[in-house]
Amino acid sequence: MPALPQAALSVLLDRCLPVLAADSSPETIAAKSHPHCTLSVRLGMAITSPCLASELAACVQQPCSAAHIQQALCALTALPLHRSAAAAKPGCFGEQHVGTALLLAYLCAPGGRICLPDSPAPAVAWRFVEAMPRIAGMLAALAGDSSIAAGRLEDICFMLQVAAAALLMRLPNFRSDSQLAAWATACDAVICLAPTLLQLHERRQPQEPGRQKALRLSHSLVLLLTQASAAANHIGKKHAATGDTPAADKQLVRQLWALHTSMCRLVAWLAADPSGGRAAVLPAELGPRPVFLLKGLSHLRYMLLMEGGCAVGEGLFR
Amino acid sequence: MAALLQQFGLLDRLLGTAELDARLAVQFHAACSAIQGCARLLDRLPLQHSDAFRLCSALALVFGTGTRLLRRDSFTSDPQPATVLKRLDSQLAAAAIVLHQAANPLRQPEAAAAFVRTAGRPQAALSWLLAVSQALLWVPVDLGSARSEPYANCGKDMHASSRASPWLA
Repeated sequence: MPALPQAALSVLLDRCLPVLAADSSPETIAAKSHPHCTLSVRLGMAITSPCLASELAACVQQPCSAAHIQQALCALTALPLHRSAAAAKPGCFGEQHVGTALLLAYLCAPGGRICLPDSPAPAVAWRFVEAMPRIAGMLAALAGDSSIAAGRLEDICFMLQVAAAALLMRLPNFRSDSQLAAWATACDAVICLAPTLLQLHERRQPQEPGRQKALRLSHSLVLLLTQASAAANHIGKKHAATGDTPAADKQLVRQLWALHTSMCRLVAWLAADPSGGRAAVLPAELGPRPVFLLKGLSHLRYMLLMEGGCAVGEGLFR
Repeated sequence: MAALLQQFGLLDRLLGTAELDARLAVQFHAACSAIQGCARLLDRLPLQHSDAFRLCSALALVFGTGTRLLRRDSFTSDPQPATVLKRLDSQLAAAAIVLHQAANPLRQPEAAAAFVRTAGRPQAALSWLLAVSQALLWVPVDLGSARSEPYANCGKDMHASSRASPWLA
């Protein structure tokens, strides 16, 4: 079925994007005369279903064409998120934009096989990574807005998790410090979604606290801690070899510490819940207790503090 | 509910070999609406494994007959875009919610595993998605009513969300 990714991309790029580019107001997007944007959200829901992931990855034989990737980039840099629109017209926000961009991210990066002729291979994937904190921030801001159906926000949360798992887990080794910084910020944003996920779920099902939670943090959490540790290790070794810590590295260390702090807050948030309901946002594979998080955290802390000598730790305090 | 869900299997067998005339197409779209309704109802209730499995099985109807209908609409007849879109919407709404809910390993591990194991089921889903994408491509974009100012509203309120701690709520 190699035609499917191409056809789905074509729907997004040739049908949805021209509409979004011409007028991104919520009224126009929801208009009946060009329903592609609305339908593409459902198309995205169906395509990103985890039960189709392996089949879909198998049918992606070739990387996307450069033209497609350029269009996707334009869409991304202009990704409008309508918090003001949600205020002006209750129930409206840029879910179609977000859904389109996330589906693009998912389709463009199966296996991380993205190529642009003139730039480092995963450049586009990194742009998607850079957009993630914005999307996560919007979801968190909108979660308390009762005029927006919780189900619609859950859909976007779900797609963000799927795209984050595809991108954050499959990206090849970090090529530059700015990429590592973008990666750490995206991971941080995805982790900070935990209370939002719980809030959305409770808004929808207040009467059934014991029901199996549909929305969880992605299991890329674990991999993310390992990779953060590896990054800290890398900085430490570089520092040991050269004897000084450049400004860029200090920034990186700061971001890794911020990630570490968010993780700590997640653990504290989980531990401060007597009923145990909060643990439901953790991935099922990892069990109900945040022990794995503590292990990963201590490893990251060790790498940040010890491996590279004091200079890596100092980066935090300067 | 179980009895209703089993009807979709019967309808699938009935439509699987039949010549799809207008009367049967109406039945099919009614079934899509019913599948969507069942999925939405079960979304509100504690979903039993057996019901999740039956919902997944009901997708065979959408994938099989739906693909045939979409191909027929796109290639042999000449319907109005509005008609195509209405039909697309009914199929997409039914399948998207079931794929997201009953066939989702995060929610229903057993039913999702059964869905993936069933011979040809994921392949049928991909064929159907291809037919849906092609039907969507067949409908032209009407930019007549859209303003010409590109990305007029982009990024206006992007940075309004402060980094207030989400953990305190």
